[in-house]
Amino acid sequence: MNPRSLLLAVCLGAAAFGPPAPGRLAPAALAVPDSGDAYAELVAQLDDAERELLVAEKAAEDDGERAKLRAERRALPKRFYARFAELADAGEGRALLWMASNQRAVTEDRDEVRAKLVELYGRLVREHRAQPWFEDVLAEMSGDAKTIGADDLEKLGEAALAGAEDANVRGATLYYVGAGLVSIDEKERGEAMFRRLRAELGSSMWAALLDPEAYAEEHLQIGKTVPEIERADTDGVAFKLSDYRGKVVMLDFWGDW
Amino acid sequence: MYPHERSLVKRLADEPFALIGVNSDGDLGKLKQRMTKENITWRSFWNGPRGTGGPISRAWAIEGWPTVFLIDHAGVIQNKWLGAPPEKELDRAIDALLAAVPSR
Repeated sequence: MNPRSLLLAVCLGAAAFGPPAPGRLAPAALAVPDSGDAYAELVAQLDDAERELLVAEKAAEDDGERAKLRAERRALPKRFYARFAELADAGEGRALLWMASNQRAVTEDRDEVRAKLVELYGRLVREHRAQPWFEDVLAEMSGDAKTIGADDLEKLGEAALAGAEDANVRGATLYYVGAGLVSIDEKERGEAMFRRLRAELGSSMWAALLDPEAYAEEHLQIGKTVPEIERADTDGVAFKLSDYRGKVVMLDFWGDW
Repeated sequence: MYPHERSLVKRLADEPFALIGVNSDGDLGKLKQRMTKENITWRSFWNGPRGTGGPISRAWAIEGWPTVFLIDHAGVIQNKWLGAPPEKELDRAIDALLAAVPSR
């Protein structure tokens, strides 16, 4: 099988504009193994514990035993939460993002979850917006729009924007907060974010997401100057397509599947 | 397509040429293993954890993988292929653009 075979079907759902997919994905930061790093170690420990319980659950003799093991597995985030909180207090932002992603497994009360999420995202947008994984924070936050509520989502967005000069941070914030607002039927307020995105960063990738077909028509035809891409590489180091001016560039949209 | 890409990178190592990827794999850990195994040495932007639903390919309205753009030294798009470009056609297009790079 040719892993590079044309996969038209894959992107049928991908091209349409919309808020981030509702399926909750583990933040990318959680998936990056990085040896000698306390956060990665803790994530690995949690993964091991989960795998162990899953194996035991499959091997369990009766329903009672199985149910007990499943409950134990579901309680894992609760068991590990304090240790992630400790890392977060020591300045590890990815631990804050883990806490936000797992808050519902730890706190039952809806209002409490809401308050906690606002607090966690508040710390993330104020203290960690320069991190390469900040986009994951915005995507998660946008996915939590319903729980957070329009007022606080807007405030979190403004906090992320306050004093931020990086075009990627500004573009991603305006896009994701706008998409979050639209997803909870706050169309007017979401559109206001999108208007700011177009006015401020009209030719950026983030503005392009608002109308990809029009963007492709305007910027991606043969004879057009290729738009800038500025983003992290697969090692997490940011670079720009325009760094390669003066060279012939073969730009390959690829995937290994 | 990897073997041809590897040979392009090797053949044009001393030319003003760069192969740049936009990778749409969601799982970065798995991808890195594959990159080592397949000896993929060229640099790629990462489309993010949502894979093919990530922001670069969505913004660029990419309709299938691979999609290849060929950009000249001045940053102008000169060719575009949806699906793997035929090898000879790709080689010819790259060589023509290389011949047009000034002060070589």
